[in-house]
Parts: sequence; structure tokens; C-alpha cells
Amino acid sequence: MKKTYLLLAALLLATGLAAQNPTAYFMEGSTFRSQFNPAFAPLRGYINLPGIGGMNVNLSGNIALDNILFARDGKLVTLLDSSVTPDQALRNLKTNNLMGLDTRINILGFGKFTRNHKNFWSFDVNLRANESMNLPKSLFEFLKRGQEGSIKNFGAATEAYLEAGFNYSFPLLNDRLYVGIRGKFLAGIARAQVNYDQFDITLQQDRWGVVTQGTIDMTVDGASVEPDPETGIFEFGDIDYKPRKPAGYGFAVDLGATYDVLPNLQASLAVNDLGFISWNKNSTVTGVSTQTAEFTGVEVSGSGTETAPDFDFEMMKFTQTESQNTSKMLRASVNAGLEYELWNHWVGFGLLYTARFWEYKTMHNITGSVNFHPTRWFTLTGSYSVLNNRGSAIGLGLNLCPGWINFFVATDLLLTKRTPQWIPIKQSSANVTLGLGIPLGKRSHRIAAYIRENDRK
Amino acid sequence: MKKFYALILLCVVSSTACVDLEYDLSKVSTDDIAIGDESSQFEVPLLKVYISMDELNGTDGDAIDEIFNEADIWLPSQLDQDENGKYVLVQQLVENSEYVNQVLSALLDQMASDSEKLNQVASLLQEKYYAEFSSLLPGISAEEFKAEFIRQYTANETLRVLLNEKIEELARGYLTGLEVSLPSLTYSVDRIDLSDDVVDMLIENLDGKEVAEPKNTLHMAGTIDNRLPVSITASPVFTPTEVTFTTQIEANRDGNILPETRLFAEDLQTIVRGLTIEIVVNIDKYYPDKGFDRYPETSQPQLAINLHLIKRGALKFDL
Repeated sequence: MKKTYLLLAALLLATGLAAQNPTAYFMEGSTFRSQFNPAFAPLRGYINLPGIGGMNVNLSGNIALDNILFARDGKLVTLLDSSVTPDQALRNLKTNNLMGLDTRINILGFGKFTRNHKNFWSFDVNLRANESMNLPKSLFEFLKRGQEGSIKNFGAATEAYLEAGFNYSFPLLNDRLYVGIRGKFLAGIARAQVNYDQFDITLQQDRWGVVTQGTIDMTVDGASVEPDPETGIFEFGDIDYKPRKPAGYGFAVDLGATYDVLPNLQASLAVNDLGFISWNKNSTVTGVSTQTAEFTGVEVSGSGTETAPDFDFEMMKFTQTESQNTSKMLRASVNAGLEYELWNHWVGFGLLYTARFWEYKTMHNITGSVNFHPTRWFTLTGSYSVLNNRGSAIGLGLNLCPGWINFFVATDLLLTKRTPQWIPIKQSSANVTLGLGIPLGKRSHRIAAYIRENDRK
Repeated sequence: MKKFYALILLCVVSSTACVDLEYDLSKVSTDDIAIGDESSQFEVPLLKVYISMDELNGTDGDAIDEIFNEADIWLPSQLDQDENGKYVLVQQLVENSEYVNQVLSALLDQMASDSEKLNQVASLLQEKYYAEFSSLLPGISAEEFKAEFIRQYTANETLRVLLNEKIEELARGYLTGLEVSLPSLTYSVDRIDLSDDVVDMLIENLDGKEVAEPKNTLHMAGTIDNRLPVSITASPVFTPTEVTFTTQIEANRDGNILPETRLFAEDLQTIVRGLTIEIVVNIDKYYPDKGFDRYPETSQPQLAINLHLIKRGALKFDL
């Protein structure tokens, strides 16, 4: 039981960091922008500073930190603390409490316009890490009220991989349509998934029982497990691994397009991360948890007593099963945008819809933004996002790309109440996008307002 | 450029202003994690003690049903009655001669008017007490005893008085010698199959004896199903703890409620490691018309003690 909660706590805290940042979508000039839509391009070729060339951290879900942690007498306690009443703890929880974390760190990146200043190619290597989890309310009802019942769809999934992508975008229809495609080779580092389809708890006077139906599978190079020789059971912590090489390979594409509906009105659409990773069965440990345990009291009679294994709520015990090659689809996302420019491209108004397909649910986001770009090297963006028809976030973004540096930062954490560790307290999403690079090579001729006189030659 | 600096300044100010120091994640406390709250109540099964007829014996090894088989014949039909039927107070039979006199008087009255009762008594005398009547009914063989006893008892009023005196003597001897207290029943339990984690959840936040109005408490409670036609007072002792209670158990009734007995942390820790249950049984009332039901012995015990724990307040555990 304790280990279960340790796992829960670890997952909660790990998820407490911070998805695609909608504020950064309309941030013209940002070298990161082509990650949202491969048809986008920066204003000039570039080379990213290794490691800090482009980082994006996105947390999204339907619960906020203050639904999980509570300030009590100068301390910060979890919703499981005895000082938090069941009503306080359960009041803001949803039927399914979802959290997803998506991190992308650019390790290497560079891009260049071709001779016509409109076709653009880039190459980047990114470290990607995703995590998603679902904690059903019934789990917390059990924990806070001691209320027995059936807990379903309880689980967590995480994966990390390296992606090496080549992106190419080019104009069509007399420059009104830009089409972009990014092909990505993927090298899987690790993945793990724990799911419980059934977790039934009975707390009756004459019977305490637990029935679990769950699976675990973990893939990482060198993964192995030695189950208890007597019981054949292993626990999560028993899995050993020695990663020296990728545990799987895959391929994915990003597809995107922009279309100038009117001279100042651009529509954009992208589908990203359409692909899969095939994980190696030799690097996979798989197990099932089919525990049925009950305690009805010890029966005593003149003929003695019968003992049974100690009753426990421990559910993180698995029986190893044969591993198989597993192909896992990436978490695809859809970005659909509309931006209208005014006053010779000084101000733009944007509307963005994003959908991201998490392990347990598709998360939707609608963002409105105002984008100031009084000069070609400076963009300031303000955004307001509505998340899954609930919660909201105000974001700010800045892109500076004078001749010697590319710098962009965008976040929705600046104006929201947050922890000293920069975790939003009342907001159920958090986004940080940050990058630093050096402009190189030809400038873009895609935006007429920004074309320099000496570039026209 | 001034606007740019103002923007930077705004960012710095807002990044500082929106920090809530109460939510410093480095100060998360997980010391007081609990399931439920003060108003919660959890019930946990603990023990089921099944007592069969073979275990309910008198001091000389006679089964309880055999002991009361003879009593059934000595007891008249006219007895006090409650909702379960006519009964005799066993304790009073042993200790109260006045009460015994009333019972025996009723017996003799019934024998004079009820041929079936007379027949039952005659059968018992023939079977067990034939020799006691050699002076009153001389020269009667054992085989002829019952018929001759009934004939003389019915026809010879003078002899009947003498026979009644002998019957009264025999009945008194038996009824006053009934065993009120059965030899104690002892059961050993190697261990209770609850994990340390579950036990810790139950005991970690219990209020101590010194707390005037405890909210986090643990009690032993339960029921007793009694198929016997006797009401009893049972006093189980759970050694090596000092936990004990005494309870009245009605005859022929399932679900006799046991009193809640408070346990402390060390009590439960001791109990789950193994215990001996010694049960002292005192018989209070006997319901002759209900009869003992020895069979089917295997499917239903005569006494079934169902014990469970009641934890009031939250279940505590460390994260």
C-alpha cells in the first residue's frame, strides 16, 4: 500500500513541472515555431545553441496544484492529510483526474533558407519525454472516506525518446500556400506503463477484500527482472536495467500548411507526431497483476485454525508474462490557427485550436492572442487560453531576433499564482518555451513587410 | 528602448509578485496521511470461533445434550415462559431449594394427571433407577418394572405417596447437581492473517488511555449465534492480553450482540501474533421444549462467535 502511494506521489510530483505552448504559436520569428507547424519558418536561417536552442515544457490536465496540496498551519500538506476533510479534498476533483507532461529539449538544431528566400529546411535533434496519468476520483474517495468500491482506469504512462528530424517547407499557389513536412527518425530510450482496469475494494465487517486486474510493461535497454523464486511475484522496484543503446526505433512525420485566405488573413493547420516507435521485446519486462485477496477473519474450531497469507492492499505485485514487440503510437497533436494582421503587420490577432491525444484522453485548448511586432526583430505576444471548457491561462511571449541573436521565451506562468518552484497553483496547465540561437544565412521573404530593400536583389 | 526596459521590469515584478510562499514545494509534509477522517468508522473481520456439540461437555465428559436429556424428564411442563418458550433457571435449581421444590411439586402434579409424563418418568426409572425401588416395589423384575410402576402409581394412593418421595429425591439429586459452569473451552490461534501495514493503519493514531474523550479508538465487537436451547453467560479471555468481556447470550438466537471492548495498540499487535482464547460458559436458562439439535453437526456449530474490529477515526499510515 505504501509503495503504491509512493508511486502516486512520485508521479504527481514529477508531473508537477510543466505541452505545446499556445502562446508561442503566433510568435513570429521564433526558430521554435516550425515545431508547431512544419510549414512555418523563422525570419532567418539559424543555428541553435546546443541544449538551450529550444526547450518546451507543457503540463496540461484537468486538476490544479491547489486541488492536490493544501496550506495548513504554515505547512503544505497533500489532500491525503488528515487535516484536509474529505469534502475539501474531493470538492474539485473530476471523475477522471488527468495530468500530462510533455517535454522537448533541443539538443542540436540548424536551418537555412534556400536561394529563393522562401523554401526553408532545417534539421534538429530533440530529446522528448512524455508522461500522462489518470487518477480516478473513486481512488480518492476510497482514500479520504474509506469508501469501498470499484476503481477503474487508473494508471500512468511515460516514454522518452530522441528524435532527429529533417524539415522542409516550400510555397505553392503563387506563395499563398506553404506546405511543410518533417520526417523524424526516433530512437526510444525508455517507456513504462502501469494500468489498472480493475481495483475493487471491499471493506465490510465480515470481509476485507481486494481484486486487482492490472498490467505493467517497461522497456529500456538491459531491462530484466528476477521474480521471487517462491511466489513468482515481482514488484516495480525489482526491475533492473542497464541502458546502453536505444530500446526501440520508430518514424514519425509532421505535416503542415499555411494558406493566405486574404492578404492579411492566414490560416494554418498542422498534424504533428504522426508515427510510432517499435519497442524491442528483449528490452521489455511485462507483468500482470491479478490479485484476489480477502480476509474474512481467522476461523477457529476444535480442529484448530487454518492460516492464510497475510492480507494486504498491496497491488503493485506482478507475475511476469512473456514480453512482445510493442509498437506505440506517438501522442499526435493537431494545431489549427487563424491570424489576421493589421497596420502593415504591426499587430496581429490570432486564434488557435489545439488537440493533443494523451494516453487517457484528448486534451483540447483554444487560445486567443494579440501579437505586436512593430519591427521585424521584435515580437510580443499576449494570449488567453481556455482549457477543455474549463480553467484558463494568460500567457506572454517575447521573441528577439536582431542580427546577432535569436532569443525567444513564452510562458503562461508569469501572471498566475505559482509556487517558488514556478508551478502554477490554480491553473491546470503550464507552458514554458525558451530558446537561444544564432541567426545565420539568408533572410525570409515570406512576409512582405519584412523584406529588406537590399535583400530584394 | 524605454518601453523595452519597462517590459523587462514588468516581467521581473510579476514574476516576484505572483509567488505564493505558502506553496513552497520543498516544505510538503507527508507526516499525517490518513484514510477517512474523525467521523470515519471502519470494521475489520477478526475471528470466528466455532464451538461444536462435542466440545460442550460436563466435567465428567458427558455432552451437554445428554446432561439435559434426563433433566427434560424430571422437569414438568408447567414452567415460567418468555418469548423463546418455557424455561427453567439452572442457577436457581442448583442454589435455591425453594425454587426446586416448586419445580418438583409441579412434576408430581403432572405425573398424577398426565399419563405421558408418567410413562416418561417410569421409563427413566426402569432404565437408570430400577434398584432404587427394590424396597417399594419388591420382587419386580427390571423388565416388568415400568408396567408395574405405572399400575401401582395409578391405583395405589398410599404407595404413590412413597413413590413420589423417592421420585422427588432422585429428581432433586439430579437437578441440583446440574453443572452450571461448563469446563472452560480453550482455543489457540497461531496468528491473525493481517499484514503489518494493515495493522499499522489501524493502530498508529489511536488515542491513549489518558485521553478523556478519545476519537481514534479501536474496539473488539461482534455477535454470537447460539443454536443451543440454553441461554448462557460467556466470558472469553484473550491471552496473553488482558482483553476480556462478559456477555449474556440468548438461547436459540443468531446475532447475540457482544459488548464493545476497547483495544489499545499493543493489544492488537499481540493478538495478531497469536493468542489463546479461553471461554468460560455459565448456563443461565434451559428451554426443555426447544431441544438440542446435534445434527447436522458439521454444517452448523452450536455456538459461532464472530469477532470484528471497529476502528473509529481515520486509518493512519506513513507515505
